[in-house]
Amino acid sequence: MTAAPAADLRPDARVRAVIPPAQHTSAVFRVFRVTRAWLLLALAVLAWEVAVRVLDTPRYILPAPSAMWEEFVDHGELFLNGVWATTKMSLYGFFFAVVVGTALGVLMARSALFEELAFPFLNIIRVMPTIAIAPLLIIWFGRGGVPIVICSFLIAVFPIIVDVTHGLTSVNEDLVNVLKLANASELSILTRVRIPNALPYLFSSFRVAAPGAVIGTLLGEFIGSREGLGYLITVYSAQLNTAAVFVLALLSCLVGILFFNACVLAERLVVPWKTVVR
Amino acid sequence: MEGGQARVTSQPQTTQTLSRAPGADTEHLVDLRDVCIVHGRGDEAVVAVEGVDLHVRPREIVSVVGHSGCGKSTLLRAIAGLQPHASVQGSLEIIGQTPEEARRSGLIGMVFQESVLAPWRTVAGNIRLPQQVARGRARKETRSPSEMLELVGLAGYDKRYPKQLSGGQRQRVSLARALAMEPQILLMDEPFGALDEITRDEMHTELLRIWDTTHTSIVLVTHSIQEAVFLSDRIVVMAANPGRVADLITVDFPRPRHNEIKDSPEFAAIAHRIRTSLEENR
Repeated sequence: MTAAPAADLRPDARVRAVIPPAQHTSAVFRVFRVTRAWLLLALAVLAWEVAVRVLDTPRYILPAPSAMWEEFVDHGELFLNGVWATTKMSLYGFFFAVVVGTALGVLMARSALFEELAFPFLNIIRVMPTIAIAPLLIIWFGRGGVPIVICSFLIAVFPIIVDVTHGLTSVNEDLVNVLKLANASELSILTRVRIPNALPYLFSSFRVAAPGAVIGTLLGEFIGSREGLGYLITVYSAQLNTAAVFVLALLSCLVGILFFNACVLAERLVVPWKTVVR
Repeated sequence: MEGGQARVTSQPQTTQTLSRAPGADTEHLVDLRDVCIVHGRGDEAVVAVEGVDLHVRPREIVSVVGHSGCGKSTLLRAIAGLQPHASVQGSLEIIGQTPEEARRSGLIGMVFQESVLAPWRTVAGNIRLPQQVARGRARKETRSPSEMLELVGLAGYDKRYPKQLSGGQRQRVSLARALAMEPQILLMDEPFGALDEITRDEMHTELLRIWDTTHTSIVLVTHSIQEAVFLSDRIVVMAANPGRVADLITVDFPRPRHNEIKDSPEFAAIAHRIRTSLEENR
């Protein structure tokens, strides 16, 4: 509470000395401290480049970073179209996952009967590998966007269901009691307490669900599609164009990271009061 | 029950004993007769409270002390009308109403061991929360958050978030939230149990100061014998398995009370009596 300002010690003070402030405050050091992780990454890429050149590794086994860059420049538009197609499908998948996942989560939290009846179905679908269902989806819906969105949806929806249910049921019952003592309706308890309480859980589930949606999309594109990063990967790997496959894999990462960070940003804006660590 | 118990008076102030509400003896805000509460059903039913009588007069502070699991919190919830109706037997009257009705009329305020503030609301928003959701008879003229904050000694904290407050401050906000609804009865479930002893002592005098400005009666459940003796007009000592009243003690220290009385021999004598009856009824 009464921390004595270190700079001007009173003459009668018993304290004779304080630990001086940290020394490394030069601009160069500060830049280094902020960027050191990226510098390490750049160093690793450089080492990769050098190693490939020195060892003269065949291009189809391990291409140099420079070769990847060439591929990207050569096929830039095609690749970026792939990025856009994948992003679009992932957004659809994620959107449906949020809508359906929230609805199912609310139902599970509000009705024990619904939870009991739906549990085996949901669990079977959850455990079943999406990659095993994907061919079926293509038989049913053809090689269009629908099976891709469903794959994306299937991976993204479960974390949302689980966390919404948890968020709605993990309310401190005494806070609910405070409202009951004011004769509050169930509706106001839901809107004023249960839903705000569930929001951090919802956003924390997004952090898992959104990158999951991207993975689901890639998987769907892998199995049957004419566009998107997943499709392009199958094409270029068939041609043994390893450099292009690397570029596409990195672009897939980029989409995933984009989705993840968008969710983190949204979380900070919407639920600044709490972060659910999982 | 009351008549059968010896009365411990804290001499030498017998003559100064305050009777704040004349004729209050006939008028009970809370009137529990032969209350039994059962948890669970069928073979798994456990009797939590058996045959408890409890009366609270206007502007009185009554404490309930006892071991963990003696049903004192359950009893408090029954008074608040928060206990499932089927689990409660006996006669419970809160200002001439059933606990359920009293709760629906907004006559009861409650403070818990944890402050249970909504972390997404500011301090003022938390105090306003019950007023915003109040329906029917519970919807009434209430006191403003800033007025309440001033009363509990947190003037100017309106826009803070609960996270930014200390444990003691959060509990003050919790108290402000309960009192903003101007309840007839304030139920407190180990309200200072989570605080350190220095803060707790401070909160005792604060509670008495704040209570003095209201028209509320308080029923306080506590683990702390000191707390019970310092705050109460009467103390109900409960024994466990099943929860029942073991002793009823009247505390006659004049009000306003100050922390010095905690060091007086009368204080120690009452504390001793509580401790003895707790040990005898393990």
